[in-house]
Amino acid sequence: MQLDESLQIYIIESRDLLQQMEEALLTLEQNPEDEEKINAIFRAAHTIKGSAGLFGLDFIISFTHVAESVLDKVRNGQVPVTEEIVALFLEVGDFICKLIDHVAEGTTPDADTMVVNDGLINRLNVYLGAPRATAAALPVASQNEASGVVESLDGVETSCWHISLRFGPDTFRSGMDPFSFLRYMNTMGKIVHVATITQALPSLEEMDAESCYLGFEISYESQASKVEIESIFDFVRDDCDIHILPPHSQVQHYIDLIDRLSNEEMKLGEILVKCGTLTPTELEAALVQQADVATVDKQPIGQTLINAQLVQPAVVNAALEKQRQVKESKNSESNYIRIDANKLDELINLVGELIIAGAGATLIADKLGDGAMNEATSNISTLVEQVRDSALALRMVQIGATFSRFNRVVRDVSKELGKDIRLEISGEETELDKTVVEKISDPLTHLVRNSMDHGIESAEVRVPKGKPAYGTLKLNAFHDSGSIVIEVSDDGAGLNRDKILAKAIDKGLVSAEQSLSDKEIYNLIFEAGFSTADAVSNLSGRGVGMDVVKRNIQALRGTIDIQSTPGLGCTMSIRLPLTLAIIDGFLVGVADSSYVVPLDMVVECIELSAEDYASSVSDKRNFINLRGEVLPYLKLRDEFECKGEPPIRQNIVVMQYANQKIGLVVDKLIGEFQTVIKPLGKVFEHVKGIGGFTILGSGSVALVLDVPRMMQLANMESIKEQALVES
Amino acid sequence: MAKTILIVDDSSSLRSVVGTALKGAGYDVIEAEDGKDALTKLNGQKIHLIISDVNMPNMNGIEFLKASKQIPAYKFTPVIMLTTESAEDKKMQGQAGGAKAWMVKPFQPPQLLNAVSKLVLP
Amino acid sequence: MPVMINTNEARCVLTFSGELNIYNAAETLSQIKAEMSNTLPIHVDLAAVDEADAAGLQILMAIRLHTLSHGLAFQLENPNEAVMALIELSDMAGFFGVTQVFTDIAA
Repeated sequence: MQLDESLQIYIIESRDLLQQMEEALLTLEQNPEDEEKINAIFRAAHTIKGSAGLFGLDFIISFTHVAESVLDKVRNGQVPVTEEIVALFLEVGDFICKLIDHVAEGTTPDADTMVVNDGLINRLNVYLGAPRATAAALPVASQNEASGVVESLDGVETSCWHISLRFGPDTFRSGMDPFSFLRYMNTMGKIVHVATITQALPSLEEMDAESCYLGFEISYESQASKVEIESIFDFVRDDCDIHILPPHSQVQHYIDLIDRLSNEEMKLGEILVKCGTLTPTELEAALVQQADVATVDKQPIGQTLINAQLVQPAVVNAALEKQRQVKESKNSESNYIRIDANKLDELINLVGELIIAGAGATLIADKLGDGAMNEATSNISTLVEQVRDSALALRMVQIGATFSRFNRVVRDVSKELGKDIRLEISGEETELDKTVVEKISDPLTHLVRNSMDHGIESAEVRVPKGKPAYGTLKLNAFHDSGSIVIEVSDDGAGLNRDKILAKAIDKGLVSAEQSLSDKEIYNLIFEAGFSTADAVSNLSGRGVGMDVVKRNIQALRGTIDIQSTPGLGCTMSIRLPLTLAIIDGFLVGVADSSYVVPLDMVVECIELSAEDYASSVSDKRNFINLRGEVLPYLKLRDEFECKGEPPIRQNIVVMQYANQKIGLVVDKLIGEFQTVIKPLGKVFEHVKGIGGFTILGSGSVALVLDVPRMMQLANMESIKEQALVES
Repeated sequence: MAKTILIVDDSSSLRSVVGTALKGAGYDVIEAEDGKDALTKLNGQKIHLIISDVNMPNMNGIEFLKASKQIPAYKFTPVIMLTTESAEDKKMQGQAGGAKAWMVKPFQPPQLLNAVSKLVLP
Repeated sequence: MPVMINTNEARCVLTFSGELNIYNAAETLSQIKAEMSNTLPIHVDLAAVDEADAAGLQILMAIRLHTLSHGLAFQLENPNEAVMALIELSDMAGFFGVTQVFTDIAA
């Protein structure tokens, strides 16, 4: 089914709103007094319902209408914000989301969905104090309640005033009877139609007989002025909500209406027609008249209308003001546009091709030795670099949205586990590539659940240890040398080194004789088939998952690292490249081949002294003393089995990643190079230490080194031990 | 059945003018010259509306209002308080919690009739 | 006593008398809260009511809403002039299901 573009926008908008609603609900659970959040939730439901009308999505309208009515009561303080209300509305949000899914798929809800629908409506109706039947019996009332004043515009067409009354709770106590005002109205005019609003009436059990809960929507025919009609309610005006909409051309009334018009950009005439000052016929006539006048003394339509005495000047001024306001807000709104992510990907691909083509041009210019040509290509490459950065920036999103989803996960899981766990989020503004964000959500969920399930102890265990009864889970993100680091930490028991080791030996993952560092032992939990939970819980103890987490992260060219302090907690750090597509590379040469390493990881380049080289050959020693620090290194020539003798002067590129340093010995340093990373074919999937390839300006291929994997290959720990022994 | 209005004011001319206007509109009227007098005249009988001056000797309008609200039969009886722009009256208005309907003297009888009929039609 | 509440196996009959207004609203409501059935059809007899106001009608509205939310049958019998005037003024005849006026009492 081909979905119409605006419906697509509606789906996206609704999902955003539901997400906001969920966040607001979770905030509300902590702080039930937060009126702004209550309003945000109400607005979300209101907007979803309102727009659903445009697409004729009746199943959404009928459901959200009930939800909205309850929210309205919450907003008015008639229904208190309780845990049950929050829980119910979380379910409501989930269900609306499901309905939106149906819209997205172009299907209508099936029978099962309707069962959920009816169940939720029944639960919502409890708070309305009236079943659906009542709502249906009083459609006039409910519509007016829900959509406010603007819809009453219809009333303008008739010759009746529209009067909306909500009497205050103390009305009876101060000796006033709402009916006496209605009777009095009949002495000044005629009540044409009245709808009694009983929505505010609580159930019999909760009702206070001396409080007034009544409201009326009245269609009133009278020759009286607005002031006179208003004066009917003089005695109750202080604590009642009274709105009077005049039927005839009353200037102030129209100005009010213009103020309340929705913020669509409209022509002056349209604004006036919409607020009822002007009929479409009158406008058309005025436009024709305006067109007939000679171009020289052509007047603005506003002036034409005033001259024709169709509209009062004050109304025109109000309309012009409104027009100006709308234009202003339109300008600020247009700071954001929604773009199909595929279009962005296409752009980034093209930028990639542009970079390669540009490099080719630079190379040719170099060969030609033409100064002017060189300058031109150099200008072009500077610009291309900027285009690349802006293109990539388009795809960068803040991680905050991903993080805040965990509010719900933590809430639900802690209820399920019966633990009180609080989530602390920091570094929400840290940006990373959208494709990375999409793929990190699942591994992150797993780590969070794992921490909650296995890491954080129950309150009974925590309190005797002097820890707060509630556990704390932290999500943090920050940028660090060309990567983004995402940390999941808990203040739980930390990893149990001995238990992990015993289990690993038991499972045959390691042998009992092996001597392993703490870090190596911790890393065993990422091995396939490992699970330490004594009782397998339905959350994270199925023994699958942590290995999958690690694989997913590696697929993103990332790494995961564990820091654990027994008794105090554990931190899992995920380190990911900022982007998967284009990087600033550093080009090096070994024999006839070229290799690229990420420039962000390059710390410095030093020469490999003849002395050090000699000892590397004689003693198989592969580290140097870098200003008193042990620097292990890898000879790329050896790693990639290049033929031929190394040159007399070799260089070491010092790389840093995740607080570790490693040197790469290369023949020559070529320089910075914008690298468009292309994935290797399936055949090379298992080649370790290579992350992809790129095409140089000359058309030849350079391999992109996967530095984190190379560090693993270098077996850093054993090199360090060797260094200790020797010194 | 005609509705009964109690009018409390120390000015006999005002009572007379207002009383005549109300009777002419179809209400039954009981007159009292101050709060104390009014309390004795209430006497448990059905009253649909009380119109009371604020500034009166013996028992002023505010004290009377509070006293009448203590009597179950008049707890919910609507009251129109008559007041002036004087500082003394304004000070007293501040103490009159519960009274919602005020009329500022001087007023014409039709104005009062209007106010009355918003609360109680004859 | 502003209201008499009689419950038999078939239904619960609320017989109002005298004033149905703010002066006895609290007493009336507390009696209803205490004695009215949550499971039986509700019959409201207003024959003996000679005065009513919004506070009184509001109680009838609450009873009607109660029957709707509990899925109980509801019948308003013998609404006399005092009550009928208010029901008409508020256009609630449909809400109360007042179709037959002046049916016989069969309590």
